[in-house]
Amino acid sequence: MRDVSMGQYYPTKSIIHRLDARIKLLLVIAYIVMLFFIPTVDNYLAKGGNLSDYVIKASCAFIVVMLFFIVSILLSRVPIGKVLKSIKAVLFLVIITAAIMLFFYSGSASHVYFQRGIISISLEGIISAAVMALRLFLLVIGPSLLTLTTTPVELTDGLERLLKPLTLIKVPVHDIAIIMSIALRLIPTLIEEADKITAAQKARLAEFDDGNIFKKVKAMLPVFVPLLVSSFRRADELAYAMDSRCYSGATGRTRMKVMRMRLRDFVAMFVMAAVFFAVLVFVYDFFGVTTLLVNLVGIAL
Amino acid sequence: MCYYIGMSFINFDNVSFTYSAGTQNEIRAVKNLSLSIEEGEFVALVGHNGSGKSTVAKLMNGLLIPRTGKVTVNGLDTADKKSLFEIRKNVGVVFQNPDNQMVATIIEDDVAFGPENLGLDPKEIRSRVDSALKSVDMYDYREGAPFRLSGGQKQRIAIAGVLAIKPRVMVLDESTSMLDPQGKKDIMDIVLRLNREEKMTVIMITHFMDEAALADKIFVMEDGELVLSGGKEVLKSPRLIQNGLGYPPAVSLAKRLREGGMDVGEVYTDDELVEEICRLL
Repeated sequence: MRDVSMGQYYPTKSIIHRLDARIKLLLVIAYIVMLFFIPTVDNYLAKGGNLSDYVIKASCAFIVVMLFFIVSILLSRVPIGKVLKSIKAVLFLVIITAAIMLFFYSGSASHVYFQRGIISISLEGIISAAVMALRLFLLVIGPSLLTLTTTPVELTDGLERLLKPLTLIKVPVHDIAIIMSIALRLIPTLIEEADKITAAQKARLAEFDDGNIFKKVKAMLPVFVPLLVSSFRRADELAYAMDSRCYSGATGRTRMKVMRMRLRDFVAMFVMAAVFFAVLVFVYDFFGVTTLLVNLVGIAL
Repeated sequence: MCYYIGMSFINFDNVSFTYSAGTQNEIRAVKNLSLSIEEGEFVALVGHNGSGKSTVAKLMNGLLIPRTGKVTVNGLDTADKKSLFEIRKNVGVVFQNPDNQMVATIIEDDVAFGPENLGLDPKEIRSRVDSALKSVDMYDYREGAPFRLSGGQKQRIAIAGVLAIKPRVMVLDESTSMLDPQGKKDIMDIVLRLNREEKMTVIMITHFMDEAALADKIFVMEDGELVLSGGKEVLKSPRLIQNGLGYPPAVSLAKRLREGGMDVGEVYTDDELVEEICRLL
């Protein structure tokens, strides 16, 4: 049986894997925020920008983000196929969104190629579809690098420590974390148990594969009921075991594994900040960098 | 009761416990039980399923509070909520099903759970976890996941989890009943060593008479009541035959050998019987 509680973790012991889980969580959040700093076509045009400027700015920003992302994947030594796999789940969404952008671009389009009824294809529409697709793609694939390089246990731990300040406003951070970690711990046990019950019911001639969907669901009932009953019993016994090992919630509790920031964590934060800054430079034309680029492209053309 | 002495380490004074009290499903699990356990003893508590022996285990560290009577551990009353932490630090319980007492997904994290709850320094926790895992011979597995292990190995982890708290008493509540013979033997070897070498008080709750034969003091429960208590001589009491628990295998074999005319002396465990037979040959 596959170790479900490991999620999609892909062990390689790379530098990305060894980063502090807290830092990785923060970096992913920064990465997502960064993606939203790249404006959409409508937004940019509505503020009175022109299309060719936008294309140059957005492509520069996206190139920076993608370079950063590709370098991260290479450093993590996770096969690129594994990373791309996560896009499969949202591929449909990406295609639909892009198609809507492409055919129903609503902004004031100046380069219209085709129009019939409400369907119109314009240059603005095409660019906006491409940007949207790229952004969604990067949005989904970034966090997947996190789950590929961090075990669920590290993630829950990191989350607990990261959210610790919330305990001040009475958010039960520790309790949520321990619930998550027990859930992770019990998944393989419950799967094993479900297998056993299924086998026992099959031995008593229960049919699970016959009939339509309703019959199948009904046939699963003799598996679910005992599973539910036994998980309640388990919960009870686990509570006794935890109590008898002096558990009394977060108060007075320490941890064996101390998360300590290392040089690599600081470097990672610095790199992220630099990338973020680069994106801002391109998007907001700091120091006239984009203007310079626009002029250069103009000269080249 | 013959073993009732003023202040023992664990003291049950006329304890009764009822599940679902006041409802139709009321079960009187323990009735007027008095017993006492001294530090360093190896005690066996035997009885059939439903005799109330597991309830006694839970009464010992305040997981259950007696309805009437009083349980004290090292002079502290388990009914006093403020002393529960101190009591549980002193009395660790290993339960029957190893799968239902693991909290973490990684073995060393699970062993660390207890000492983390005590609020110890990370370095101290690490050293306790390492020595507990070494003591049950599972140190090499420390970074693995518990669900890949055999039942016996999981139960050894559970013992390590209790040892890391450094309790003075370890209660094993039918901890060997789900294990194969090898797993059972491993657990018994560890428990015996803890008792003999580290002077840990061990309370073995079981229905296997061969395990009970290793103890210095034996309590027999029937239907929530204590019916026999005493030293090894309890293991020869005809009452064990009447209530169906039976004699330990070595005792009954020795008895038959004696009936067959062999002059076998007083033995309780398999090893003693082997020695005795070797002496006679």
